[in-house]
Amino acid sequence: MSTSAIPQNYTSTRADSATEWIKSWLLTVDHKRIAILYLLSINFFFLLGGLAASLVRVELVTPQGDLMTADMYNRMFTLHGVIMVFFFLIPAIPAVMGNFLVPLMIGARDLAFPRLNLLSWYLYMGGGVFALVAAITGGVDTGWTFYTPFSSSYSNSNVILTMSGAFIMGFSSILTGLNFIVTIHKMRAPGMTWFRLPLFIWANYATSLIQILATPVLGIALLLVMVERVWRVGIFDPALGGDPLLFQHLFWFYSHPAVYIMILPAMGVISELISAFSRKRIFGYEFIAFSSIAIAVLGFLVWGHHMFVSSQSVYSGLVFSFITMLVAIPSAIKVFNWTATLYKGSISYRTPMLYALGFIGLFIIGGLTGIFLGVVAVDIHVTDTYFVVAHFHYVMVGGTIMAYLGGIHYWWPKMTGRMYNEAWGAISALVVFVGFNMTFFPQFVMGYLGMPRRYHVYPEEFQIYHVLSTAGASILGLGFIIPIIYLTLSLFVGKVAGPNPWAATGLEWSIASPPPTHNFDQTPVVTEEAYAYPEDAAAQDSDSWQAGSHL
Amino acid sequence: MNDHGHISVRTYWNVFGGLMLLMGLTIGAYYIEKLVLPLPEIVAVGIALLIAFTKTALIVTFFMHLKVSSRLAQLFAASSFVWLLIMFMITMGDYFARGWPAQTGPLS
Repeated sequence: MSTSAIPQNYTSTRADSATEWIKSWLLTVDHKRIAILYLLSINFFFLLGGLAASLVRVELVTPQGDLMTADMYNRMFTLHGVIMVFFFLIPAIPAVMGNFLVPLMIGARDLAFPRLNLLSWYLYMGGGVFALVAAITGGVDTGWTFYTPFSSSYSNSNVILTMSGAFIMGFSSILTGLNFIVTIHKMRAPGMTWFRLPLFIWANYATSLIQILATPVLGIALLLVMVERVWRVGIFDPALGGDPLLFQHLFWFYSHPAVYIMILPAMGVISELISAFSRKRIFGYEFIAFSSIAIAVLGFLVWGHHMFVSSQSVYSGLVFSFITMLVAIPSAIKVFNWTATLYKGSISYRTPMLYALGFIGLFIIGGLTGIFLGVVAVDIHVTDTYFVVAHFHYVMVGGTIMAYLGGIHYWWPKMTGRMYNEAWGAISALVVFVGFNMTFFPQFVMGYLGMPRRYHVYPEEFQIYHVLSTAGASILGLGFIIPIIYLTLSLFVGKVAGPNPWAATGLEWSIASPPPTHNFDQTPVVTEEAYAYPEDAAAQDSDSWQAGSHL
Repeated sequence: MNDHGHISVRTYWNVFGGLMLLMGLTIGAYYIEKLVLPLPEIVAVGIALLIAFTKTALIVTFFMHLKVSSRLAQLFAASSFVWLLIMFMITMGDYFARGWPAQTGPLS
């Protein structure tokens, strides 16, 4: 390749006016551009959800409700939950990294249905607009769970508008899942057998199954709430002859697997990071691959553990409790295999690896406290307390966001062609880890001691934990802002990355950074397994190491 | 691979006619049950569900091209029904085992 010519890549454009340039992005069917559109819009919603969380945390610094009223507080934590769950955590990794990487990793030129892919983004934005309008015009006070009959009969807030947003976003999620499944089945490069697929692809495949099987159930549940709210058809409200638990069944049939929509792709990212920065073939490839499928399947059978105190049948509770324990098996398989991959690897603590190691620590805490909550007797004690809040933040934030940030840092050079400032990267990873633990660990303690969730006024004895938590949230917020600054700066002043700055394996690293518009000049032929690092990579690295070496 | 097999326009019209007939049957069954022949609720709901399942089968088989799709596509479609079955079975399992007061509940 000539060094003077500017290579054509997916970010280059032939547009000769600003309007043309905007159109070239908003009407693109290139999976990489759509991934960038998602990156920007999802990060916007993340910051918005984070802003709502900040206001909640500031309110909780004192035991009195001195910043907002109870009603305003309800609307604020609902805004936080709705935005973070539906518009950040669920789409984050599949829509950004999945979109960018699935075709690149399997050797395809694009996803199977490029126009459908663009439609997914528009549906996402459409859903987001509904949610934003609902928030601006007064918000909603039901909590992100929309429990009936409060949501269907009694709430005076913007329930229908918000639900419509989640409903529309659901279609975006379904279409993305559909696109991935067809692409992975039909468009793998020659030689890219199922057991040569990167584990990120397995994880996204499992996630896609959940997206297309579970999301329609949420859609219909929300639609039924709207029907009951508007036409007073008795479905969930006992006063109208309905059954409120039916809503919880339908809601959690989606919303528990939704946790795996968040965490499974995150686990796929971690598999990539651990292998790349240990310079070793991943330990137990097949077990990690099938554990993703096992989590996806088992994740469908445990939803009733959200309903232990809901007057659900005790027999159902026992069965759900038992199956919940089973989810620990594939989850532990992954953690043990990642740890075994590290053993005798050539580990380098680059920014993505710091996030990956942070993920493992936080996910273990989140997972183990999940076992507490899966036991009916313990769950009854801590239901609706901050213990639950801490648990799901450890899994969803400690898991998904750590992997999201780790993945963004790992593939940033591929996406943009530029390296970021490594020192600031490491600092921000550590700040996020410290801030996260400081925010959520005290919540385990106060939750166990009886601090209920969703209250803006609380007994003074809990203040110390809330102050710690809010201080941690400030640090965490800082940890999220630092990467925005140095990643943006890297676009202008970052070192040129080259095709493979991490010396990693995988088809995406075999092409230029940023990738050409059509990904591969020639269809690649795959002849080796994923993560084919040399057996003696650790020894080679050790021999060639010198002060200042990156790897 | 026969991913895009052919279904004739005539078949589409026949299926459409069948669906209209079944819709008429749904409405008719409601009026017959309410005005002419009062049936136990479980029978009435059973009949309504049977008609609904038939409509669904027609739509999935012909309009959604499952009849002429690959085995893989058929497997995916079948799996969604397995999932639906799981959801119904576990939800109804809870519903029937919930410990209702003697005078209310699903078995009264």
